[in-house]
Amino acid sequence: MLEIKDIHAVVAENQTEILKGINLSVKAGEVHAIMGPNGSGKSTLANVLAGQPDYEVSSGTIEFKKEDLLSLPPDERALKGIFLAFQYPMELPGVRSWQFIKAALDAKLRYTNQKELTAREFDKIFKETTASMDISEDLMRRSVNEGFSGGEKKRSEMIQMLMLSPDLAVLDETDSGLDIDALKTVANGVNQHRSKNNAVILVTHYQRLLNYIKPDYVHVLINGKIAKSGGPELAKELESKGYDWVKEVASEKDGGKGKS
Amino acid sequence: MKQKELAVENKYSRYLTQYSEFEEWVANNSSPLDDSLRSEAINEFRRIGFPTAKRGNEAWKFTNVNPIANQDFDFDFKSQDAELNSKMISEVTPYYDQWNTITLVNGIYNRVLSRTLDAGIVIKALRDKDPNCSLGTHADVKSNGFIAINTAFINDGAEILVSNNYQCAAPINIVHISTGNSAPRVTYPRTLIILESNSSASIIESYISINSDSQFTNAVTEIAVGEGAQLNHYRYLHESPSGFHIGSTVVDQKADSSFKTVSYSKGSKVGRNDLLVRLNDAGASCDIRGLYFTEGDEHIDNHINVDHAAPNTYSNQYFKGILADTSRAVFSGKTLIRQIAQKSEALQGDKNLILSEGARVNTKPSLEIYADDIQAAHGATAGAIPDDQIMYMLARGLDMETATSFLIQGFANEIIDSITLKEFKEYLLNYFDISMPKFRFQGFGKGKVYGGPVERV
Ligand SMILES: Nc1ncnc2c1ncn2[C@@H]1O[C@H](COP(=O)(O)OP(=O)(O)O)[C@@H](O)[C@H]1O
Ligand SMILES: [Mg+2]
Repeated sequence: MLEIKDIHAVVAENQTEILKGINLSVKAGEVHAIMGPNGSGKSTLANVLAGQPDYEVSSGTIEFKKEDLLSLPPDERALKGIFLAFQYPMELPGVRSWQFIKAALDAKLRYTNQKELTAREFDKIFKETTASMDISEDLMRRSVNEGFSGGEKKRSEMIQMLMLSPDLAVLDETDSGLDIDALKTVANGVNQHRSKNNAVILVTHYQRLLNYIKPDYVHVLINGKIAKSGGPELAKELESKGYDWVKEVASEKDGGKGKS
Repeated sequence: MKQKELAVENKYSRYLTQYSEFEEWVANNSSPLDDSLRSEAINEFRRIGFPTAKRGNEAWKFTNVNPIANQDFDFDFKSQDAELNSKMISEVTPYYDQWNTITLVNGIYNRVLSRTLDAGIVIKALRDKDPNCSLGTHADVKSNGFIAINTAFINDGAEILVSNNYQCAAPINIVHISTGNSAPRVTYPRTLIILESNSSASIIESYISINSDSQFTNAVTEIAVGEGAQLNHYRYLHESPSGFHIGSTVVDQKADSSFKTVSYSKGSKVGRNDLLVRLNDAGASCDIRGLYFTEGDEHIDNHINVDHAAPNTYSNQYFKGILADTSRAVFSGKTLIRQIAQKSEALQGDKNLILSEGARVNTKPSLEIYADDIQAAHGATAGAIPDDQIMYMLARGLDMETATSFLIQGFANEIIDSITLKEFKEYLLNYFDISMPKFRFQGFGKGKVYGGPVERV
């Protein structure tokens, strides 16, 4: 579904290189966890997939469903099935959640030549989804994310993901700032969404989420590169040993260059 | 005659000629209009003229009225009603059968298009002179040439009286229409609204033009809100973009009265919404909100003055502007808190969304405070649509136009939401739905704010 080949990405404004050659292959039905210390480039990778114009891809290729992804603008990537749950979801003052999500779903249905939902049909699914994420209807009548707590914003991202049912969901630290109940709610959402036809990339700083969502692969991103990949047991190992252990392994591989 | 008067006399001689012709016509038609009010006004105009001076003219600093002063407008005081029907009107302004309606065409009260549904209100044409009419007691002809010339040329207009303790069931719709003419036309709409003690009403004034492109509307509205009375007032300005509009509204409030107003002003070639609210007695409160939208080379100036002249008074001014193309907007909000006005509260805010680099806003909320035990705050902002909000919406599959219009509408919604008159609220929401999608976010600025320079004064 997704083939990332030797991606290098820079900050558009000052050309600082953040991603330094990433390779990743994600197939339908898989869940990949991307872990790594703060500042290692996890969000940058997620944003590059979404087409955030703050970053430029300086070399490498990304194919999504066998098509070149990098030449597509962000809205087309979304319509083709990529969903990014933002680490810091934006507030949209005055834009009602209901209206926003309905418009997004309509756009997607139109794009895939499906019939748009009536307000009533949409409302029914929207209410169920909202309830499953433990968000009050009242909150969803407000402006998108405005005045939401950190945890409410994360759950609002999950509602959007569930409503749009993307082929590839990239969840950027959707677990951070959540208490244990909210974490379980979010994990339930992801597990409910998971199927053999779609894929999920979980970007997370902590191993905690992976107790509830079992990944097929775990990758450790350090200094813009994937330093180590493995199965779910790698997450456990990171929890007990910390990231320093991988950093050392990575810098040995680099011939000592990457050592900080 | 003094030098300055002589200069004014020459510059505005056509107004003075028009005045003589008008006087003669009034005399021959035994019009019951008040001659002394008008003659005082023309004398005042002769003295002050239009506020065209560049120096020391703080109130008109960013709105150049020379294009108005230099143009010949036709004052068609004999004008018979143009051929209009309610369908034509309802296409351009909120207009509903279930509302009390007063329609004035080129300043003249139109009986066919007017109706009173509520028993406790009196609606009169100013030509049917009411002996107790307090016309001219609120809007001072000395305050500026536009009020003076409007008063000098009072030909007709509307007087609305809501009697003591009466709670109006239906809204009152006052529609001012300027219609096309062979020459650019000037109209002088004049409105007097009186709410007696403990009464309440919802009143909407709208200013529109039909088949007209370069008219000049010089409107004056006087409003008296009696003790304990509550007025929900709306002002809808949407005339031709190549016309001129100077609207002056003066409000006097008695004790414990409430005046809430929400205006929507679409830009004109030169447009001005001048509002003065005097909180004369303790417990009076006003809430003044406005939304303005300019495109092309339009201009709109919201000039808002609040005078706290009694203790325990409250005022809030909150305006939002949307500026596209090379248009220009001005917000100057001035709140005076006199020494006597202890325990008062005053808020002011103006926010602007700049849609293109060529658009420009001058915003100046200001407080002048002489009392020590008060609460006051003010602020102004201007900026482009944030990149990251657009990105967030694109990442959900919305296209650029939809994302842009959602954000513009979201910005406007905060003001529109404060409209309690359901039909008017829906009218504006619908209007924004239709007219905003043509705008497009102008591109990602790598973290930079996109938009025109903001002048803070
Ligand atoms: N827009 C940007 N401008 C400048 N520096 C950036 C920008 N985005 C990310 N960076 C830098 O890139 C590095 C990686 O950031 P990020 O991808 O957010 O890391 P992570 O999500 O793993 O914590 C950090 O050093 C960060 O400061
Ligand atoms: Mg991050």
